[in-house]
Amino acid sequence: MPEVSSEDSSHPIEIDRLIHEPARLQIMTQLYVVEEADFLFLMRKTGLTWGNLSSHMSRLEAAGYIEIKKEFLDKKPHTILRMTANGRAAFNDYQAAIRKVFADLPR
Amino acid sequence: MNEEKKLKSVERESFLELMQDGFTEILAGMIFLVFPAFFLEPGFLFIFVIFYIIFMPQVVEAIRRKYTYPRIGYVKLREGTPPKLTLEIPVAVLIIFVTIIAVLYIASMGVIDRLFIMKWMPAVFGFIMWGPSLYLKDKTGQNRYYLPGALMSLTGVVISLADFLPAELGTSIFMNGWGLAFTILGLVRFLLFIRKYPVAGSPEDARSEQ
Repeated sequence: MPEVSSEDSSHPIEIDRLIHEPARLQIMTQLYVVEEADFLFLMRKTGLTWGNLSSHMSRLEAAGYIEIKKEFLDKKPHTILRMTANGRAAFNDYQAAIRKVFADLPR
Repeated sequence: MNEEKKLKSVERESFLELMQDGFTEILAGMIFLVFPAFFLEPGFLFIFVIFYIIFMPQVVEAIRRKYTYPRIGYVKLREGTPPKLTLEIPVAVLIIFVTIIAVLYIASMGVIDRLFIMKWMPAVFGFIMWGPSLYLKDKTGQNRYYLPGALMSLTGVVISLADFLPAELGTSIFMNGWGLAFTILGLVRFLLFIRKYPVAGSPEDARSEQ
């Protein structure tokens, strides 16, 4: 289950910490706007190293937010990532929560 | 609201990534170059449509797998419904344009014949190109994509107003001219693309060799 934080007990704003981490947020944002993408594309767009991307990818996969498809292209490994319906819903909730945090701030 | 703008901008960046390889321009150019052949043999149209619908997506994907994805990575864009504006404006412009021509022609008591259609075909195609132009503008957010629609409708009207004998010549000049322009533009973009992005050694290869 994703970790969740709350502001205070009277007005709890739930922030999904799994998505809130900057690197994972970048991965989720990229995958949210496309159907699927491979490792190289995500590395270029997020600026993460292979190791970093791989580790964050595993956590997102364990939470059921993304699915990973491994295949071979010209005998070379090729990893394709895709956001699941759960991941899409979680990302929508995350956006709504963040919007709520800032909506409550005085201007 | 800001998050939506940010997401739209990320989506546009992903779309632009794929547009860099120049294949869109090359494909458009090839379609325009082939088009005048339909006047010689209308049967080509059937073969072309079959080829375009059945084989073109696979051909493009195979080329991109070889040249594009090893350089910038693979991405499949989401296929949403086209924005209403994309369809409404060109259709409205086309209807207005065709209506004006029809009214003028009927006013002069003429009969719409094949020559008349041939004569005005470049203008009609020019206006139709507003459709792809507006679509690309919406997908990329870049105003330069208005240019093909504007230039093609302008040249289409100019060529239609000029008298060519036979009338098909005007359409052939329009199609071949733009076909050549798009193909050259696409090839230049492709060359710049492969220069800018050498084939990236996939980190997954190194990992698998360890």
